[in-house]
Amino acid sequence: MGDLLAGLHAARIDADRAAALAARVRWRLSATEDRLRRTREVADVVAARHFAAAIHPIGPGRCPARGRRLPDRAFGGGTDRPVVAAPTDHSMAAPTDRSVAALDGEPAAPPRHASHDSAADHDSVNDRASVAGSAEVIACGCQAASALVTRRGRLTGPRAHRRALTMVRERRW
Amino acid sequence: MVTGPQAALRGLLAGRLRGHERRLSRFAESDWLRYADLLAGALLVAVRRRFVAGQDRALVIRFVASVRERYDATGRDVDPVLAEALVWAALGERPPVPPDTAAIVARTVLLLGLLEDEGLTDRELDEILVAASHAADDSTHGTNRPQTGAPVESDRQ
Repeated sequence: MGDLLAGLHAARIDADRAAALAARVRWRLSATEDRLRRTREVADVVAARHFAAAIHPIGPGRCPARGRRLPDRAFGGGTDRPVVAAPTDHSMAAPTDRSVAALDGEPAAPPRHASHDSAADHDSVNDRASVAGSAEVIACGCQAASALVTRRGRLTGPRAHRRALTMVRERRW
Repeated sequence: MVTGPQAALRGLLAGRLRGHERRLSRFAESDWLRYADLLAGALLVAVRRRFVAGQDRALVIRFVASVRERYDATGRDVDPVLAEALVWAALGERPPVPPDTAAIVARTVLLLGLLEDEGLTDRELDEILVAASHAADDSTHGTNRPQTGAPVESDRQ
């Protein structure tokens, strides 16, 4: 019984460490993405650097692609050093980036979808977004938002800890 | 009298997701439009409770990052630039953002993040919803968009 409790305790500590590490990596990725998106306005760059410095005391600035917007898939791998990918998707082909257009106050181009990954989904959603404000588009957005909120509830709700312990138990014994 | 869209939004903000989704499933077209107006109005009210025009950009960036930390598990679900544009638009410093799919998602999680940070009571939440309803009425006053929504009972009991 003592070994069992000790194992559970160790597993819980490991899970807490992993969660903290994952959160830290997400923060770094967010900071890196923000910094890369803001290359036209000095104030934006300064603000993003302040933010990045606040969450990464060592100081980032190691990205080899400063000044370029990277596709989303370049921000993978769990580190804060993005892999520069070839500009094959349509987001890179646009002469004026949507983020820059938004910062400049220009009307934004149809954005990416919120919760799907495939190119087909992106295309279909962009088609829907072309009629922004329609009931169908609003319903699609509400369903995507509801999925995010539900997912967060599952991850942070009162049952999350119990579920994590159950997973640990099934894996160890 | 609480309308369907208002009750659905209240259910979402109060964390009653099943009731929220159940109400959404009954929406007619006019209800969706009203819901989007209410959502925009609620975000307007909530943003102006926390931020002011001429706000330091870093605070907005930090807030958006915190919302993405909470709701954006994949890193692609909430566009940070769009989310910041929504905040600035609510403060009147940027043009309004059209209610497309990504904007609805961003509005929803920004609103939830703002209200979660404030830790509102039920009464304060109702006050925000009333103010949101007024803001939505004001924003649609000059359009032909119908102010409809099947009256339903409040889900507060």
